[in-house]
Amino acid sequence: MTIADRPTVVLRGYDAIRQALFDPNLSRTFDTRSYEEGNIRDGVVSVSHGALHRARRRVENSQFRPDRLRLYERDLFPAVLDDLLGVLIEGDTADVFPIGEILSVVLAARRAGLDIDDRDLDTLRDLVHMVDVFSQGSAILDARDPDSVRALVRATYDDIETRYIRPAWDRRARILHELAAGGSDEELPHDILTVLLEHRSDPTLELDDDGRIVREVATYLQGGTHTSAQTVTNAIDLLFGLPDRGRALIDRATTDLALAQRVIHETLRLRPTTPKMKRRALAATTVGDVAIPAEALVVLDAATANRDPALFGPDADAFDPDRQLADGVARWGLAFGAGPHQCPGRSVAGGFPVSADLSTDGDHLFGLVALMFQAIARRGPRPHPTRSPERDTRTERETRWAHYPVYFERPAATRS
Amino acid sequence: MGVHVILDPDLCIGSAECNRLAPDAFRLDEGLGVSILLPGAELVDRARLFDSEANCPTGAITIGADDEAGA
Repeated sequence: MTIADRPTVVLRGYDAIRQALFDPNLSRTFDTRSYEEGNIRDGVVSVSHGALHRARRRVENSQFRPDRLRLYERDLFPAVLDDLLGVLIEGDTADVFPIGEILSVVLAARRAGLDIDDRDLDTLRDLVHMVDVFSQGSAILDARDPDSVRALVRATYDDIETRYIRPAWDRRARILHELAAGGSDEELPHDILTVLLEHRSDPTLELDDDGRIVREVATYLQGGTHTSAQTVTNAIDLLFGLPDRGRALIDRATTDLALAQRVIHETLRLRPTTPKMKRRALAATTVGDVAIPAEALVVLDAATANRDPALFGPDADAFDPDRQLADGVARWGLAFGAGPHQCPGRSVAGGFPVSADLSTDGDHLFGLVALMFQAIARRGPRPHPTRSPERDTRTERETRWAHYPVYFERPAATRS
Repeated sequence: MGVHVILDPDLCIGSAECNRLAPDAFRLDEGLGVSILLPGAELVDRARLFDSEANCPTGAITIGADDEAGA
């Protein structure tokens, strides 16, 4: 049965979507073809299900522990921002979306397991180009020309394997070999590629095929880059849509990182990167009072659920990072998903959840996107006087940008 | 009335949210990649236990009121 032949069930309620995301009968696996037969995401964690998915996440989640997140947020990313933003913003105008991608790809590459010179802009732009291709692949159901996307993604897997993953793989294999012979683990990197190689012999991970490791590493590179850049761009777009209040919020965020985090959470709520999540019913099931037949395509309309007035207030459609919410309601709504496939990078990008009273303690993490937004805010972004933003027209998703030119009032600002 | 805490290790994917929210009740076993329940977990602050239950991405944690406590 092709996707087009399946019955479609659309869920729009917040609780129903959450329930669906926990339902083991609803899978992210749409295309059961192998990689050789044309499923460009064959075997990657995002579309795996059940025991295989759990086994992968148990291994890969080790790279998202609070100590790693603190290292990224408090040491590594501020240095990236300091080193790169001054180079990327040369005059008083710049295109924010590719800047967001370049800033994000540095740590995404490190987390994925690529050994790159993270101040080499040519390398970073090369990786961003690859991420762009992989992002088209991950949104294949919304692609306007899926066959050409599949061909491009296949070629890009080959390219990233040859030029980036194989050298990193060989180095890690050598270190792991020395470690097995009683050597030190001091040189052992902390990243996805390393843990996959370290645990490869575990049959539950289904990593016999080298191509699966390549695709898994590429998935984490893409996931850590594209959505962060889209989110910071959407934040700026939403604030530019509030002429006076938006400017005041941008100015406040320059010195208030907690506000910057709430700006990002509010952006994710109103413009989730995946506005409509999709699942396939492996077996007939019921969500709330909705009966879902086997093989149905289940569309989870997170963008609508994220504007539920019962949870987010009567002004749920408005952008208000200071909105009051009940305890336990995630300010980002369902933007990171829920259930087993909840975004593993949620705390990297969005930080820790904000309490109902908006307070934070010394252990709180604000998320890398908030840091990125604050660094851009300090440069005084205003709408570009002559150039308009351009959406990514290769996808039906309305939350994706291709270019977002802005004017900076303080292009040379640094950390205060 | 007390509570009882159940953790299903088969469902756990090692997100460690529970360990972050209630470190006195849950510990992450890095070797297995899953959380384990600590002795005395049911005595931990109830709000933290319920936070852990609500934030577990796989529903591996169940906190229940112990109706028969003391019986």
